[in-house]
Amino acid sequence: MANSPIDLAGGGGGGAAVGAAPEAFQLSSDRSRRYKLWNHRYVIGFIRYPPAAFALVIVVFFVTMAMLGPYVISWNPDKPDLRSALQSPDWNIAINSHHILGTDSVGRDVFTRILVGGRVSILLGVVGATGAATIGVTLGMIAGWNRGVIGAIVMRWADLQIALPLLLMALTIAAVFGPGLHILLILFAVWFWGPYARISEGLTLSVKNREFVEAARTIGATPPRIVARHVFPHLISPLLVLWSFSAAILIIIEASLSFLGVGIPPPTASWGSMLAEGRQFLHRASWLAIYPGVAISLTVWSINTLGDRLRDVVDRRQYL
Amino acid sequence: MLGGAVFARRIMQAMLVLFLLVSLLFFISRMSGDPVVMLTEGAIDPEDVEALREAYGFNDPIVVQYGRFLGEAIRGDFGDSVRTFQPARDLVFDRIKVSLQLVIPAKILVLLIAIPLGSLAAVKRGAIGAFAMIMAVLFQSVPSFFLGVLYIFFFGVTLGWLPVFGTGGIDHYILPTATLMGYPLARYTRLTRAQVSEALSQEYVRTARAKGLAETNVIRKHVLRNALLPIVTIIGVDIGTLVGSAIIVEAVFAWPGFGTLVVEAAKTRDYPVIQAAGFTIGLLVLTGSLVADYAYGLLDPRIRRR
Repeated sequence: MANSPIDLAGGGGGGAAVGAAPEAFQLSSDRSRRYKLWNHRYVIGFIRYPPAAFALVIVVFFVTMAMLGPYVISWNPDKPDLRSALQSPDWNIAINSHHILGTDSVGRDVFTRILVGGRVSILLGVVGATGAATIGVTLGMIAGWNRGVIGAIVMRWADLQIALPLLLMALTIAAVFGPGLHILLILFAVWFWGPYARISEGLTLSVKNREFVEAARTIGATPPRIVARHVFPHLISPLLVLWSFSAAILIIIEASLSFLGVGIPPPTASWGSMLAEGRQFLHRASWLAIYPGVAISLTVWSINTLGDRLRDVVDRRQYL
Repeated sequence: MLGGAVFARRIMQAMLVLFLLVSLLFFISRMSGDPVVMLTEGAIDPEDVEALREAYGFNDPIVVQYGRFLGEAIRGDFGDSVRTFQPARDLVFDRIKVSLQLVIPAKILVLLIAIPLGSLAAVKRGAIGAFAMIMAVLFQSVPSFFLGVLYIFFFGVTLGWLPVFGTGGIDHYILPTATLMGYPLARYTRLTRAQVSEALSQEYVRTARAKGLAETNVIRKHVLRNALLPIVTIIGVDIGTLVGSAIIVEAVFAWPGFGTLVVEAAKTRDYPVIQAAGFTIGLLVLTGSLVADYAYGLLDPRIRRR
């Protein structure tokens, strides 16, 4: 499996496939092996592993509900209804007349809030990881292509990100600007591109002296064109794996910040803040803490499982 | 790799990064406007605000303030906390000691469990391997704050066996330490398993078996020695992750350590404490990775010789 021309992408958290054959590393002159954007065999191979298929179902569920939630559910996620506070879960298929996961301390439907919280989490994870990837890959390829001053600056900045972990940086930023979705998105993009830059720099370095790059240069391609058309395709598979793992990390970090009370400001639902609130009611309304926690864990598990599967399918030696 | 010159260059780079970090924290905290106005929030007279600004030197040009800040930071002086009026550095150091009471036992226990478990999982597949991997997947997916809440729910609320917040007797340490262990346990088990599996497939293992060594000797002298070396590096590099999870775990269990201090400082805009904390973490992380590199050089003869 590892040697077959297989490659996958979780485009938008879904599960589209992108081809970038490991052989392409050795055989780029072979024009018949162009990078295919879609090949159903890859998808079937990918989901034949049951946990990966289940993980895909969970991710698709949360993404679909994040988009369609407002049309399916009639409960208001933010509006208190004190008469129905702290109702216990009432399992029923009629999600709009029963509180299937109960209500919180001010009577809001927990199921609705979990779906809405999922929207924030997935948005932050996906957009944050994509922003970080864009910055990191661009800077990393520039640094790998053009070592010297630019490369040194980029890599020292990446060191800086490791020296002050994202969670601490987020706390500092929250202190200065106050909590908020936009601040978090920008922060995730500018303080989380280090790993992308490292991988891109290394791979660019390893590719840039190969014959096909030489050939492109000989026929007069400009450096930006060479980097974009001839170097970048080699980075796609390892970057997709990293992308999925970093989306999972960002989801955990957002939830952690909201749990600490410096993430998404209330009343907007967030899995982290729901859990923090539910913690106070553990003795008489444990569902308030348990269900949001299960939602985070399931999502993180799904993304990690998809990422692992992606790594098995893409040869892991390529980027380790 | 780590000859004197290279090591000296690494130290210089680390100091440069630390300098950049401190500068960045300074400018970020000044970006939100005048600290005096922000901290007093219009609660005192404009004249008093002016007097305070003069007293703290906020009327000087930003470059002058920056120079003064750097001069004091080099001597380890980040100013006094705006909440407790204690020196920020002392506060950070005191609280780090409280955090280490959780972090150090957690780290030791993780290594004691994860390395044997991961090695076993790689050498003997089957039941042990499956157990180790299921455990790893579970602990990797459950974020530490949820793990902490689950522990509180089962052992504190439902069973009533253990205290669930604050400091005290030895029983107060159990749940926070166990929570802190969750993610690293998964990470190190997986890492050990991957390393050992990889080493098992190497040529030198085949050679060792071919020359008739007993399997235990092959594993102990050839596989484990090679496989566990990179883990030494990871331990040093992991300090940042550890601090991150300590922040969360302390918040869950109301443990009065470094993490709680940072969260309080962030919520009250206590910039001197934030800056001192950021500097300390940067210093710890950079020292950790330097020490790890150095230890790796000492432990691995191949690198030492290069």
